[in-house]
Amino acid sequence: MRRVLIVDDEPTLRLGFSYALQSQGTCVDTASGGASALELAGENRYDALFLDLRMPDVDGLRVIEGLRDAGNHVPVVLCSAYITLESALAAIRRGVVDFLIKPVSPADLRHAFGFVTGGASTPLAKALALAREKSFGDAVSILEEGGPRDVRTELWLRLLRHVVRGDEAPEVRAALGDKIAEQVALRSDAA
Amino acid sequence: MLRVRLLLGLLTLVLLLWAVGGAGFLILQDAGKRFDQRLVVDYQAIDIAHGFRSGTSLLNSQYLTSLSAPAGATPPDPALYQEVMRDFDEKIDAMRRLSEGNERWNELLEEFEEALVTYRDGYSEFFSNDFTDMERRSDLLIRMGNRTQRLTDLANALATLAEERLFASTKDLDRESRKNLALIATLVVLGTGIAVLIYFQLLRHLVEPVVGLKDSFEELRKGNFELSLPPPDRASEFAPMVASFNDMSRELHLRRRETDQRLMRKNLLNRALLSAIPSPVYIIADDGSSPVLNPAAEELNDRLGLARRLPGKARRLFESCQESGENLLPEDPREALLFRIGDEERHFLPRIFRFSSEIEEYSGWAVLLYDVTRIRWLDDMKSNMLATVSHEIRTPLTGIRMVLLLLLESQSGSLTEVQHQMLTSASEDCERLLETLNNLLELARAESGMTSLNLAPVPLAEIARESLLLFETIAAKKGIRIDLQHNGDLPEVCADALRLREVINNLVSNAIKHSPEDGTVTIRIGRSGTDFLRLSVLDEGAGVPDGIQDRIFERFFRAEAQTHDGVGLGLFISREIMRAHEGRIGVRDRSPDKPTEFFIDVPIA
Repeated sequence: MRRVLIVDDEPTLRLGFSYALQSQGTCVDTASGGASALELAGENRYDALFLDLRMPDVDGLRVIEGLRDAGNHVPVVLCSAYITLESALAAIRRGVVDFLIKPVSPADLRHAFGFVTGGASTPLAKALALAREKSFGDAVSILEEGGPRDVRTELWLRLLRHVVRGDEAPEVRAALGDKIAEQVALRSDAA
Repeated sequence: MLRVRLLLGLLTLVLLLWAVGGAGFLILQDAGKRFDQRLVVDYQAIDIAHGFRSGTSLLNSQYLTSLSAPAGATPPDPALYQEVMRDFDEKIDAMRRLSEGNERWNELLEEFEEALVTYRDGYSEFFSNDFTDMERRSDLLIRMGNRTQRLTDLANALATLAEERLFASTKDLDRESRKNLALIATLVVLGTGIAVLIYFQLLRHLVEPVVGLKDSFEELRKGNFELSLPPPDRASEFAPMVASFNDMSRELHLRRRETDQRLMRKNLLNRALLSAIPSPVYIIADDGSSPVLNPAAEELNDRLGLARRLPGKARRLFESCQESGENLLPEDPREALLFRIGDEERHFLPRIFRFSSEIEEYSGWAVLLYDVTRIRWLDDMKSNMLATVSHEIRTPLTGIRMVLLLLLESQSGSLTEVQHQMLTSASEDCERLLETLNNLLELARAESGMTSLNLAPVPLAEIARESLLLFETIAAKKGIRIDLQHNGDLPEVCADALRLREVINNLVSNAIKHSPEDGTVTIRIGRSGTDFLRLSVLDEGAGVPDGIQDRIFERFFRAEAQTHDGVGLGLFISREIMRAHEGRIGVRDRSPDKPTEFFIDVPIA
């Protein structure tokens, strides 16, 4: 039985997300804000967290911080209509490498859930699995050795190199542009 | 006037010269004549005296020699004697005429006449020839010898006297000529005096004004226009010249004042202009002197608590500009410098540029701080709005979309046909709304970010390959093949890789949209002229209808028959990006059997 927590301040989305993910073998909890999400995450053990970036009380990045500070390394899928480069870098440094750009379709959602919980088969999936454990150097090596790369894989490689180097947002922006988070985000059609 | 003076002076000199010459000439002539006369008189006297001597000698030798012999039978012929005596009488007369009242001369002449009487008595005795006595004869010879001696002595005395007189007259002449010499010397000294006078007059009236004029020109040259020459005598030849000079000086003075005024006006205008610039401006001359501040800059420095110098942040930028010699003219308000003035935060965009005039010493740098606080605020507002719109509209829309998609997945149970139709329609509307929203956001982002291109040499073929990789999967779903053609040996282009990628992706995406199933989309790269690389995207779709080819790059333009999603911003944004690159974008006229071709020309790096 897999367990997933949906965190979003938008009731319709909570409803839609949970409905889309609910199936045999998946149990869905929902939280309407960052504070209650941290509370629930402290009480239960989840296989994945779908976390909205912008929330009125405690925003997504603070929730991630809270989780990691508490030693909780649950895979987190960060969802937002707009993820700034700064937010993306902050998230990646805390082992959050799965982004979903709203609007998401039920298919996107299921794909993302499968991607973060399932076994890694492609070099990119393996690399991101390492990145979730903050082993960025290893992730880069896997991508470099992984043979021909598609655009998304290539962009991930470049982004992770910057992370390894410890570059700040301006340098990354100059090299990869503002929209990098959207470009490396999860997509059901780009499996 | 000067002319008259000069004439008079020189005339005097000439007259004096004539006078000296004439006097000398006359004196010389007079002395010569008198000497000649003296010579004639005295020479005649000496000649006559000698004539007496030779006459007596002649007579004595003719007659008295016979006295040493006994008297002849016939008495001696007295003809010669008589002739000589007549000659003697004439000569005595002549001598008397030559006496010139000289007593000694008269005395000697009288004594000579007396001696001659005695001499004549002797000869009368001789010619009587009545004695034959040898003793008497010898006695007469002796007496005659004495008398002849006496005559000779007197004649000699007369000759000596004549010589003495000649000598005396020479001495007179000498004395007189010495007197004349003194006169001539006086005249020469007088002439010299007059010449000196003329010299000083010339100096005063000719040289001094010229020197004065020269000095005045010198003063003019130094810029002293106040100077004017004192007007000379009206009659002076220099009067018109001095008048001309004074006119010229006045004119120059006037011009100078006009120029000064004009310069001052210009200076005031410049100052006013500088003062009127609402932004702080610092003018820094090349010599490194302290900067000139306009009022706005003074106010800023005042509020920052700085002396008359560049604020630290601007100074660092300025120093690097000075080092590199390049202007710093950033456009992006994000490059503004932050100044904290009290509690206020103000953003100033630095504009650092060099200015130069023809004269090197008036070259320098200007630092203008353009207050972009408001622009920054608006920029932040725009960013916030983008984020807000993205979140506040897209999030609920996402919910709606999610619910609609879930319903359509029929997980909530079976739908009636009508319900399914309505849900499909609503879902399509929802998709379109999202697309529109995305495009609007994209447009806002594109229009604001276009000024800050990150230009660098970029391999165009590499970007095209990335685009191919990106769309391959999507194209494959429609059975469309993407083909990349280039000859491999291409220069890099000067572009912002991210922006250029957007354009190419847009063209490829459009081509896939418009391609018939199982068609081919071709990306072709080649040269376009010497300065550009051309990337063409060709598809086998219906192409762009005639008459709207120019309009497809306009904002929100959509062809009427277009059935695909989108509000028609893709080509507009692409055109804006290509404009910012100083490149081109266009569509080729389609001929029936050829594919539709969209192209971009990108400047070669």
